[in-house]
Amino acid sequence: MAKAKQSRYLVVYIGIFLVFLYAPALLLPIFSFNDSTIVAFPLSGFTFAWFIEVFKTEPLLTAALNSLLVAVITSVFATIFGIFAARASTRYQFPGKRGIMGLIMVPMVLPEIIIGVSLLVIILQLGFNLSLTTIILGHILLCLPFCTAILSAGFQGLDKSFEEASQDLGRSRLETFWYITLPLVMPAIISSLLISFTISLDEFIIAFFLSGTEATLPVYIWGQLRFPTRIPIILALGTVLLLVSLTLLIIAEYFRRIGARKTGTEVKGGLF
Amino acid sequence: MNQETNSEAKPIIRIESILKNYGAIEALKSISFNIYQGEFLTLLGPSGCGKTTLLRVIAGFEIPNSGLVEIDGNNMEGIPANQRPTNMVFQSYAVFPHMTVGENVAYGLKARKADKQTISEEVNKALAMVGMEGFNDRPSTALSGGQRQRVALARALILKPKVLLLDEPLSALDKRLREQMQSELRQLQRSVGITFILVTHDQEEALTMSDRIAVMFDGKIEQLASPQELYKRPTNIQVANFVGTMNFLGLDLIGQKGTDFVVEIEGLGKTTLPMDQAPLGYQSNSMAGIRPEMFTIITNKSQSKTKVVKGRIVETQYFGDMTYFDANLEGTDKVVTISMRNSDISFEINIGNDVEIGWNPNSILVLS
Repeated sequence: MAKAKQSRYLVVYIGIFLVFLYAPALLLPIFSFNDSTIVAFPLSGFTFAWFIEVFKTEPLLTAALNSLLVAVITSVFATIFGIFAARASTRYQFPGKRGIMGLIMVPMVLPEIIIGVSLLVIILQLGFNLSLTTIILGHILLCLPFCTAILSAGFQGLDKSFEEASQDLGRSRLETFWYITLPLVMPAIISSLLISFTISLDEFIIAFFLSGTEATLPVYIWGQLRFPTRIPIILALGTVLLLVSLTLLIIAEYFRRIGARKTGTEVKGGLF
Repeated sequence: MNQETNSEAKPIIRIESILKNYGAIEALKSISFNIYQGEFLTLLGPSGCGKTTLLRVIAGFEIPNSGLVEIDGNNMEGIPANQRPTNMVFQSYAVFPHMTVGENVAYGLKARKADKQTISEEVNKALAMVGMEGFNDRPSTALSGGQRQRVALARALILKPKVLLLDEPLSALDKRLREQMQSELRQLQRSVGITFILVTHDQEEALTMSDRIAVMFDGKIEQLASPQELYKRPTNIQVANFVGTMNFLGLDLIGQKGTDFVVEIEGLGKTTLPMDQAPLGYQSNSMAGIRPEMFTIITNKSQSKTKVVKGRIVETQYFGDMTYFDANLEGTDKVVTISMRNSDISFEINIGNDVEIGWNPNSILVLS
């Protein structure tokens, strides 16, 4: 009896938890289809107008394109650096390894505002102009720990004897990395690309500090919030971004699990 | 291949004074020996004895701190694994999971930039050799343990290595498959004529498969001999204990008569042993060793050529063809193991029975 009661409380707790977690995010799509510029209940009518408006607003599309560019370049470089770090941490022993790996992971817990301010100060001191490039540099720094964590798991799950067998059969170290190691950790690489892409795409604080005249999408959205009539458009845009992010995350996790199955390790941890 | 031909033959592998340290741990302590063309050599020893390290030194995965590895007359120093004329079958098989069976087997020939026609012919031949013809397009993740092992073998043999290295290749298989693979491996080795070096901790496997066995303990080779020699004449207590079952009895030297020792053996009494039954001579810690099958429980008075002691059966273990008896020797608290073929036992022997145990001084070894 006591047990049944306990589990009922648990269900209620989980219910409340999920509502608080997801209700605000669900309001976004609801109001983005609402036929009114005022974001308030009751809903006045259904419309696709805001979505159409999104694709008609020139600066918004430019900002979206900027974001896409930043996210793609960031994910590629963060993943490449992540491969180096993960490979080094899983295959080689060197002095100060723990300390170095720790330092790579620090940006994950460092407040973004601190990273943003300090990067801004340094970049201005060095005399560089703020541009998309500076945002990319900041985003690579931010994404690197996530990429390293995902890729380390991938490299760790890789049996060392695959690489040794390849060398034994006549391939050099470099060829072995290309023909054996990369294909076997490819799922981790894809999931690293997708996650860093997602992080960069909707990152605001660092982008806000480091952007010059070209805004990324989150920075543009922040600017538009001053104009009440623009808010439904932003909600529609938010709905689109929400869907894109979720899709990418699910794809990333899918590849991570395939990878785990391929190398024969148990599927555990990760994001889902 | 027997000892006589060995001494004339040119060694395919010459290992001289190999030393390998991991920090303060000495994995290999100055190992030297030769391996001959066409030989099936086994490195046998408990885990941590350095046998796998030695194999990996030959393959080029570990670089020794000092010493020489010569394969087919060439010094291997500074030559990486991918340029050595050796191939390896890994304990985990390491069959590439993102390739088909055919791609796995073709991997080495592709690395050598062989043409497509040759590759496809050789792959089919190699797969046929291990009994897996027609498996070319199977994904390698869909294979059983035994099939994976065959693929690993085909993948290594297709390159026609001078030496094939096998790192505990049978340890992951169940008992029946393991026994089947033992004889298949042996046949394969004879038919291809390639030198095999096998690493195992399983003494039965070593005895059934090898031409010669190197027994390793603690980074050293304790004895390198044919299976028969190793079983009949182990050179020390460690080897005798690891290969087969051996009864150890206390031993006191009473005197010497010419080249013979006069000794008192615990529970067996006074006897004379020729010098050659003490391979390392008599030492203060020497024991008398005797194999279980060298004892007989006398069920028939005509077996009187042997010496006889009295004992009481304290345990029996029945194995179908054989029975193992534990007997307490009269006048001592020593318990010895005796094995008998069941076809040689003419009456029932039960726990608590007093029996007469026959033995022969020829079958005693003095071991240290």
